Amino acid sequence: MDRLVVNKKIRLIPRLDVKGSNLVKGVHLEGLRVLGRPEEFAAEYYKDKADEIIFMDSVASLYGRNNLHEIVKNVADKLFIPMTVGGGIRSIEDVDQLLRSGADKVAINTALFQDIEIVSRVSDYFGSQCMVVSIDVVRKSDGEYECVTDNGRERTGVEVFSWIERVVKLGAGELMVTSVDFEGTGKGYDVNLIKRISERFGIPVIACGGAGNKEHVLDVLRNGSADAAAMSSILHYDIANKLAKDGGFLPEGNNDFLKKSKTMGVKSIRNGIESISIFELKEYLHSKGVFLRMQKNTEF
Amino acid sequence: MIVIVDLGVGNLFNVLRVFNHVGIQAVITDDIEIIKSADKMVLSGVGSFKVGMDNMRKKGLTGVILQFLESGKPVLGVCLGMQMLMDYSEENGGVRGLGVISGRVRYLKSINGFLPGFTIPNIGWNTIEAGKSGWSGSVLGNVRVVDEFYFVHSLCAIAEEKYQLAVSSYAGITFSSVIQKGNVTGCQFHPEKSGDSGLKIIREFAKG
Repeated sequence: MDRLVVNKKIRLIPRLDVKGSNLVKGVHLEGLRVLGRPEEFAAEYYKDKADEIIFMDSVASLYGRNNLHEIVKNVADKLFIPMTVGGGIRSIEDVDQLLRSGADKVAINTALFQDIEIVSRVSDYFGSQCMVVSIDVVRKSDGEYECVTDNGRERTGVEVFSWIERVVKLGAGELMVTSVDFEGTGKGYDVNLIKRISERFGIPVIACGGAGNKEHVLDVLRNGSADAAAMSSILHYDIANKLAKDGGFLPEGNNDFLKKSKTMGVKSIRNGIESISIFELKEYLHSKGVFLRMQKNTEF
Repeated sequence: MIVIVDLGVGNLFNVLRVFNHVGIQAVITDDIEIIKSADKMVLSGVGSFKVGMDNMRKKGLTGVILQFLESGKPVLGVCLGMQMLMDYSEENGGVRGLGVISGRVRYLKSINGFLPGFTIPNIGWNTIEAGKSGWSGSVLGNVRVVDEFYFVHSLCAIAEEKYQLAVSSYAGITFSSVIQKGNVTGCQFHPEKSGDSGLKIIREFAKG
């Protein structure tokens, strides 16, 4: 299918990875840093006019299930924008529980490799708009792309495009594509991959993984034809800095980063990754002719 | 009390949440007596038109819903709920709706002029533009030109102009985004997922 350069309205989506009750950020080879309470971050993003929010349970595979229900409920009671939840979802019952807790959409990856029909069951039962197929991808030495699971830990031997074709046929509503090689590095999205996927299948594509600055986001939207861009690092550090300065909560776990940020400020901790708010990002993209939602939430 | 009719299509919990948030008592139910005695009704759904209408029939709710719609008591249709108010949908090979507001529901992609390069479903935020009569006195009373709402749909409603409170465009197609007849209003978008803007509509519907 030939995609013209269309000026479609895109979405910006903060992605929050959660471990237990904390927001964390995984960094390529550096493990997890604790950044704070997911609910607080989500509230800031909502105020800053995020178009949607994604919560991923980053340790679901350790527990064999998704544990985000409390956080999802807390967020859904106050923030009235679409919420996608993923990590460890394996069955219709899991999906039902999360939707009841307040999720609007679910993102599933690993479980599909045991049972790809979950896509059609979720889509038939709850509607395809609810079924976000999450695809984590690595690029092989021969240039082909392979699907990976378990948060990037397991190779599947499955080629990405044939996989996408199957899940689209089964009723996937959206695709969330994360380049594991790029994720957390701040070097940008895999724009070529996103472009190829966007041009070939007619369903919305959310690009995930790699944004280090606002130019990267512009690149994946403009040149990758993504329908939405999800990002973590560039947004989280800005909010973490703000919340740390406000003198609040210091969570347990690997929080050296937060202790340092109280004195030094975030930019000096995280080389190569810009620190920006959603609203600043939107203003930048808007100035570059990207069509998106500009209006600010005035109520909280 | 506001009743949110459970037709088994779509997630109603977030509709309930938003009414709780604005401080209005609401309940999700498919009980005929509870529906009958409610002050206002919400018909919300996401999914198949056929499944929605079939479930309505199977649960024996068609009668009480039609009565409510004719009673003059306020009704809010959301997404599929809005579409079911119309005469007919071309989904699932062609299905009759409740026939309360004239017009039909069509696949966006099959409408002449649908621009290539746009995905289905239409997922995302958009503004709405007033139809001929303007918005005052309706649930859109506080809505401004800059307000945006969250849409997710593959089919759209094309209502008779006099019932078209607002229109929106996607991929070059203009469709009815808000319809109204008497005290019955329908929104193609999700007011419960549209931030501040959506809350304006929820409040307006809930008050009085």
